[in-house]
Amino acid sequence: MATTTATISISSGDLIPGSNLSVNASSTLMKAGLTTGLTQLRTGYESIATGTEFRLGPLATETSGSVHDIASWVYICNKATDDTYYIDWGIHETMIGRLYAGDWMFIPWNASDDDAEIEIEAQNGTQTIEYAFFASDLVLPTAAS
Amino acid sequence: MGTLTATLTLNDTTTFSDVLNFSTSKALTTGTPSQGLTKQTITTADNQELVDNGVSGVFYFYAKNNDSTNFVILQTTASEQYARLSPGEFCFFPVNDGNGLEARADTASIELEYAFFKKG
Repeated sequence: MATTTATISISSGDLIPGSNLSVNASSTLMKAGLTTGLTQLRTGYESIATGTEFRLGPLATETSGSVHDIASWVYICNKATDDTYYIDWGIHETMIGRLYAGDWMFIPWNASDDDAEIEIEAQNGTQTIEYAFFASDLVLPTAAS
Repeated sequence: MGTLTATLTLNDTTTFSDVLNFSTSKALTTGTPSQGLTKQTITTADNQELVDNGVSGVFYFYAKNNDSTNFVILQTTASEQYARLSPGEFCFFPVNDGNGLEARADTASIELEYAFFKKG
């Protein structure tokens, strides 16, 4: 069985008064229904020019899940080293978060429809992102006849 | 105010012909306000605000769904849904300035463990 395990550790010695912070959590990346592991993985690097909107991952109609309501996970790291650089990321036209140089994120993503795509926009300079996309039910495009 | 070290590890020895073993870590400088680790019951009755969109700044947000059966939806304070945490799953990401974050249980109330820290 496919068993991709994601583990997070968050720690600090000076954030919480009177105690150290040490959070550890782990989970297996599963398809919807939590009985089968995810088996499709896309990884790589992308260079994103300033001001351009970049779509990461497929559109819902490029998947074959039940009404496209599939479970997916997205990891993104902004590999920029200039502290003034950042990328904005969001779902379709709604901005959700901002990754500054070196920051990373890991979230579940639900490709409910073609207006739920992940959009990334670089600010202040061209930036390279490192990404991993765990999914199921991705459909390859058919060859042109 | 403090330094938060966040580390993500992805490991898989069974799915592919090659082993996936990946880790990334970042020391994050944080400011105020921050909310240390806490637990909150999230109900189906309404959207429940965890990060106030009226407080300026980027917030590093961590959450884990402690329920064993039901999922919880994460969304902006404008009710734009973007993530679904199944039982036992977690997430970590930066919430943008002014977006805020709300949670809403789908089928039944769940216990959400969460924390957030303002980027310093």
